[in-house]
Amino acid sequence: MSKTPDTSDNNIDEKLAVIRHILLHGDRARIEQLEEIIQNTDLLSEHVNPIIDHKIANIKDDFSNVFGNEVGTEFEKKLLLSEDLLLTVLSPMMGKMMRKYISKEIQGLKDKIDQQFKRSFSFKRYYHLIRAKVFGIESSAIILAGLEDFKTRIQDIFIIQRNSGLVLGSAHASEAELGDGDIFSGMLTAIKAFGEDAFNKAGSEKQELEFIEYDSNKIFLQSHHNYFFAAVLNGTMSLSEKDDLANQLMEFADKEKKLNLQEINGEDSAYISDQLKNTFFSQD
Amino acid sequence: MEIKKKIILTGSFGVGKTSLFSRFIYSEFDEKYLTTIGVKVDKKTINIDNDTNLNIMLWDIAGEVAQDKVPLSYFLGTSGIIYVFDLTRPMTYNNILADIEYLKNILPEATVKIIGNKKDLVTTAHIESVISGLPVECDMTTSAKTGENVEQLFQSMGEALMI
Repeated sequence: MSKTPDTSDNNIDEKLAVIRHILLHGDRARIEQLEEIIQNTDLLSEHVNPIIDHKIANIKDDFSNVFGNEVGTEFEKKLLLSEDLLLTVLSPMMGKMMRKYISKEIQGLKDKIDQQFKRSFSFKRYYHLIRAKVFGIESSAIILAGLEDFKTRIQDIFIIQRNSGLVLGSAHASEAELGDGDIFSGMLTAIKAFGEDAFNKAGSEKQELEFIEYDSNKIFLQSHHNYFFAAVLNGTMSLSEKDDLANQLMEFADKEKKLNLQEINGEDSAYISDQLKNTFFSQD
Repeated sequence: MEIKKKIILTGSFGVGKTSLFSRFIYSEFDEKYLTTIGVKVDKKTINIDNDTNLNIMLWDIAGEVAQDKVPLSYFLGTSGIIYVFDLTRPMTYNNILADIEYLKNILPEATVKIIGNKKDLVTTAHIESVISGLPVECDMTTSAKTGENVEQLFQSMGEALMI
């Protein structure tokens, strides 16, 4: 009895498995390696990060070309949606900037008008001069009388002892005084002292602090031997208005002899404050 | 009767002048050290007797290693000087004699009080040892941190100014 060759399915499968093993060995090894890389975050990062970095670098370099339109459209949409909010935030700042700019321009205009009137010999000049004389105000002020917002307003006047910074007297346009007058005067004296120390060099002419500006508020200072005036102003101030105020303060200083006393008690201080109020705020 | 006087707090840096200022004016103490730039002015009213209130205008001046480095104009018009040193740091009182002589020279009429601050950080024996070694008389020792003797310091200064 002859032996038939083994052609069973099992035998074929085994042979195929051997062939598969031989042919696919390399691929399997690579698949295993890839699986290991995918499952291990560190290894995966090592391979993927350079690609992502490269992509990010490309986006950075060419962002406007790639996303310009989308970002622009999105930004426009957001701006339109936030219009009210933006206006709320920006309006006060813009208003302030505009007001400051206009104030400065008006001040320049006032100065120019005053200069023009000084140079001019026209009939108009005499007309305005007569009006100015009658009403006791500057020509530029007549012309700009309609612009109430830009008139200089004296808010507070302090008389401050020169070295100690103690208030000798004060008067205010309204009940709402500028913070605490004593602390204001003390700090103002310290600022003044600091400025004088910084700028007055030995042998040079003594200089005095004359103006402090804070937005549309100004502090005009006039120094005397034992004391100084500090006038808190609001609005613009032309050169002639500054001269007028300086003259008024000088006249007050000449008139009030009590200011030259070395020691001023509460009674003297109340008297000086009353005189200040009568002189500078009685018409208000 | 209301009377106003200017009093200055002066001394080397980091001795606790601003802490004494804050303790006296606001009854506060802050552990953080913030150096004073220039000067800070505030006020407090103390009662001297039934008829007299003293409005103290207190100037807290930035500390300097020597008093002749402080801008002279800060001292002018001062009725009272509180010179503060730190009981824990000898460098803040090593120059005390020269400092006090300088201050008395520029402000001969002013009342000067010499104060050793930070007493909460040292023992009584240490305080006695420091004070006995000073070439000038120490008027009081204080602690701005605990508030010990701070009110008394300004009260005694106020009373001295009224004499």
